[in-house]
Amino acid sequence: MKKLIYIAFLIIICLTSNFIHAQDEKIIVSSLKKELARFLDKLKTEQYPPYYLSYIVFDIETATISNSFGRTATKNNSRNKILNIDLRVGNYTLDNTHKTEIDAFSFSSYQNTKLPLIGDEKALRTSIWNATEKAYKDATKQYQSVLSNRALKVKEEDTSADFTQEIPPTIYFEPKETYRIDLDKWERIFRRVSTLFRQNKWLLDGKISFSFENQYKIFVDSEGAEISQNQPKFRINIFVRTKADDGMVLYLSKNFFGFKEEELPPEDSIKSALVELIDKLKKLTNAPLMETYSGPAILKGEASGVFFHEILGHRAEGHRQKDPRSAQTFKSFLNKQVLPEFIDVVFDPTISELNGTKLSGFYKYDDEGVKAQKVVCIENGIFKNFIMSRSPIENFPKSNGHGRKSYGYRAVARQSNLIVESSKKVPFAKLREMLIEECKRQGKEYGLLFEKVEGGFTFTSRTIPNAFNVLPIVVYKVYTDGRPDELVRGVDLIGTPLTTFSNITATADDMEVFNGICGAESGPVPVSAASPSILVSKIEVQKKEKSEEKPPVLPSP
Amino acid sequence: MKKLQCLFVIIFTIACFYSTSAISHFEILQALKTELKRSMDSLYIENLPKPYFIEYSLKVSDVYRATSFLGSIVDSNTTKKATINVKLRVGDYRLDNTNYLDFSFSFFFGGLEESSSTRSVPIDFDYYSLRRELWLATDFAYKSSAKTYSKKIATLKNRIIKDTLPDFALAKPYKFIDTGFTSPAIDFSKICIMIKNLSDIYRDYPLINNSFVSFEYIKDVVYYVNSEGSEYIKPNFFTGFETAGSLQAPDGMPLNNFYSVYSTTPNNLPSYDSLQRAVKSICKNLTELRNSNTLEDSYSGPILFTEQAAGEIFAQVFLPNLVAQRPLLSEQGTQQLSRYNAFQTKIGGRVLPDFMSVHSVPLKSEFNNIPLIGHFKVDDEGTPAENLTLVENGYLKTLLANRTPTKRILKSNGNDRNGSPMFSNIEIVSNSKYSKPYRELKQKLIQLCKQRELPYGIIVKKVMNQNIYATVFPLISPIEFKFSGEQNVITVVEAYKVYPDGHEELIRGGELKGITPQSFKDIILVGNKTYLLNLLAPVISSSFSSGGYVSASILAPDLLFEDAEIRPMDFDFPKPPYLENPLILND
Repeated sequence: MKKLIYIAFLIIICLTSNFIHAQDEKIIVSSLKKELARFLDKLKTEQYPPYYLSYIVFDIETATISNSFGRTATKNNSRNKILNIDLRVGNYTLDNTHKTEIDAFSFSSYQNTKLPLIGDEKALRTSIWNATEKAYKDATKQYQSVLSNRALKVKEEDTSADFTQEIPPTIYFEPKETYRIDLDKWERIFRRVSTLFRQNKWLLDGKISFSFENQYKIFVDSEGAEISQNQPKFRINIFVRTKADDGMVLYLSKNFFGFKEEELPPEDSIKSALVELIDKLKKLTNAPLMETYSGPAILKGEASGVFFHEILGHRAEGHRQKDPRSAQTFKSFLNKQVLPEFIDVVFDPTISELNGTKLSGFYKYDDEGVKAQKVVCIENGIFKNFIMSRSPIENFPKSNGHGRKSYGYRAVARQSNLIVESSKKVPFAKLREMLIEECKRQGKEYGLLFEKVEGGFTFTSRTIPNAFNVLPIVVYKVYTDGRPDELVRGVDLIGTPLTTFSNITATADDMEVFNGICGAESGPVPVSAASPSILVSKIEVQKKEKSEEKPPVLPSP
Repeated sequence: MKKLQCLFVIIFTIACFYSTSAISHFEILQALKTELKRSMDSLYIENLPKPYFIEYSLKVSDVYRATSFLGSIVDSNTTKKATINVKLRVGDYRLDNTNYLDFSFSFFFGGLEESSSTRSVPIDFDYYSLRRELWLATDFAYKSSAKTYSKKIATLKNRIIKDTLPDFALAKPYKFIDTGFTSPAIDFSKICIMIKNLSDIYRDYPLINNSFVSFEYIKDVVYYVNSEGSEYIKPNFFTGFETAGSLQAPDGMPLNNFYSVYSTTPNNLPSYDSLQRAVKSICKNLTELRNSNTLEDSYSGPILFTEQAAGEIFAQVFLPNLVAQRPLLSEQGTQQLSRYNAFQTKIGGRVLPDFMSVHSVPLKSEFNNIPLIGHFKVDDEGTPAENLTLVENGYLKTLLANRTPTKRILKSNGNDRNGSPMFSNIEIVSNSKYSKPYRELKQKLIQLCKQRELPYGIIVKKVMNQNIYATVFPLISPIEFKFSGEQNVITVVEAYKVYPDGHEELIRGGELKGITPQSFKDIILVGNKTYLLNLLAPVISSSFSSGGYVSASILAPDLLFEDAEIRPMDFDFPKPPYLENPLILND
């Protein structure tokens, strides 16, 4: 009987909280719209009236639990509503966001205003009012410095406007989803699987975590756009770390991603992933150190995906092409060959799945209220399009739905789901044979096979050499004389974009997805990169930075 | 609708709770001691000195926090944390790795490695996981201490060092086990409703642009052991309620007022009615301030500090100088102290008028049945707390110290708080001949003004608190937060001009300038009532690391200064809001 009452109680709670949500969304939208209209109206007689104003509310719900060596390390729920404002004075051609030298090194951040969680209209509007007052004062101050800076400087190379005009405005509404996350369930699962960490005393870190986050975003702007959308993300992350006797820190991680909780793997799969990870780390600990090398290599799908994300993706972000400090690698390559002709690269935020794998770069509308669009960046090896936010550049006067940010930042063009497609595919076994052949041709004893990478980074500015660095964690030597592949450690894959691209000679018929979080000037955003394995006739590796610290003096207790 | 909201808050709160670990106090201490012994016995790298002293502390905290705005919760969360901190010394008491400022390391150090001797421990830690985390933290602490030690030795080899003080004072082992405490239960959903309702009061004052109401309850238990045999278990309960409002006068001048009250447990906070009165009084005062006159010119003359203002200026300007500071050695030589160094060499000298004395009373737990939040029985290094006379009849007797010897204080007097010596409970007392009722103090103020042919005198009732300024005002004030403001400038929150006929006039926009520790010698009379100020005070740290805030209690009478200065705010004010507050709109 008690149980029944309990269930009934739970149902009532769910219903009421749903009801509150629906009410709440309406109140937020109407509060935002009222303040927006009021500011535009009252400020129109000022010297610098706003010509554009947008509000975006990030209603963020999270639930996370992590386990370290068999014990629950953290367990948290949180709910926050954060308001960001984009207020622009001047006009579409020249406004307060125009880059000046004064802010050259500042990340374009702006104020986060926490809104009441369940607010009536007056409370919400007072918060919005206070924040907009501040945003307006900041904008006029910035605009003034833009104007004076302009008078002092030579004519800019790229004279395109500061903001695109997007017509017609988008209207889209999704009610806020309600999620019931049972952290206790995950706690029990993690308790069971994490006994493996305790059994391996050589591990310095053994963590497994579950995280849920739904960002319910409400966007309204002065052009009439009104968008509400859910962006749920469920993740499981396993992380193991140890230290080799020579001091090198070694680690491996495995991520699972889904848009629904049921898309995450069952306990058995988590357990086997954990076993596999520990096993591989053990092997890595005993693996020999790799020397500097230059020669042919295969980048497996995941590694290749990250490679494309770093080398191509960041250079295809539109707004960089008008930043005078950016190297603008592809600006002069528009409609020219940059990759072998059998390769296409697209950025497609409109798909949520590829060959059964969920893609974390999926969204319906970007953070500037523009509908997500598929962008063909490379077609038959020819550079066709930049990914665009609402910051236009020469020849690209419109956004293509890639203006993204995390709260607290100003949106810029960011990647979504990067997909590398090839028309020159061979089975993976054949690609491996081709690698060996290429090695023999170049007189190399072995080629390299990059199986897993943790990520990478790249420099796109003019002041630093325009190199990229992909950080592999699982690398094999593939010998030409038929010896078995040998696991090695301690190298990073480096190079410069254009040269490396021209060395891609073939791809496999496989496809792997890397789901990750990309960090750049508009904050961390979820992205994915999918690619077949690729064969590169010449890559270069350099020694990984290595710690000088000895492993712990005493054995683990 | 209101009822539904409450339900939601309750659900949220329930969702945030989790089971606590079942490990006993004894097992925790046992884990600490076992790992400590193992480290003392065997932690050693060839050619490097062995550890001669290790201390472990484990802090287990439950934190409840909520903030509210105009009747709606903005934030509400409960978190549980467990953190270990390892301090390890190599060398010997005379010369070890401490009191040395090492710039080169710790930046860029880390990555995915153990990079700190402070580590988070799983919230439901057991004996094994506790020892595991201690093992890694100790290993890091050993390596970094050994590194610092060798750098320090190298520096010393090249210098003739005047400072021959030992690095660490010897201490007898002391045991203090307080496990008899009961963690007071808290009805967090009720608290959330309370602060919601209190924040709703601001709605009736639409001239106030922005406001803030928050509640915080922290339950800490600290477990400590060191290699000399000291150990303690001490609980610490802290509760805080803070509220603040901000508006702009018609000329743009930003005006703020706040009310904060700190205690041990939520049950010891003032009643709801009394908090309600406090919030209303802030609202009323701000509204009045908006229409009050500004101080047209700088004022130099007698000032009477009463209530909160008396305790605050003592805590902000005078007391930090009563903390013993050890200059640090670095590769560039001995780093001279730049802050709060007024009394370092003043022991035996006069620092206050000879009718005033200052006592440090950490053992005092209550004043008129109100808990003193600076109270403790054993300090953070395991030294038993003692009540001390710091200033006797105007003369400086001693300074507050921990186990780091300084020129004048060689042994700890039990005042280590968060790793540095710091004040806790301070009692300012006076010879009864100079303690007068408020009425007489005011008369004396008027009389002094007449003598100096001043048209009015000034009474300051409230000044800005450092913690509120740094943590609350950035959230609600229209002006940019100045991180390191001009030294010796304190913003006046509530002050009055007092005219010869006795009538008082509220003024706005004053800043206290140039009050130095030496100015306190100019106190000519004090009040005959004691005002209790529980506050969060920034730790006085001689290194660059910030020790955060610690709870302190000041028992001070009103203070009449013969001469002090107040000047009008001298920066450009932001424009007043362009639009009206939505609270007054009827759309």
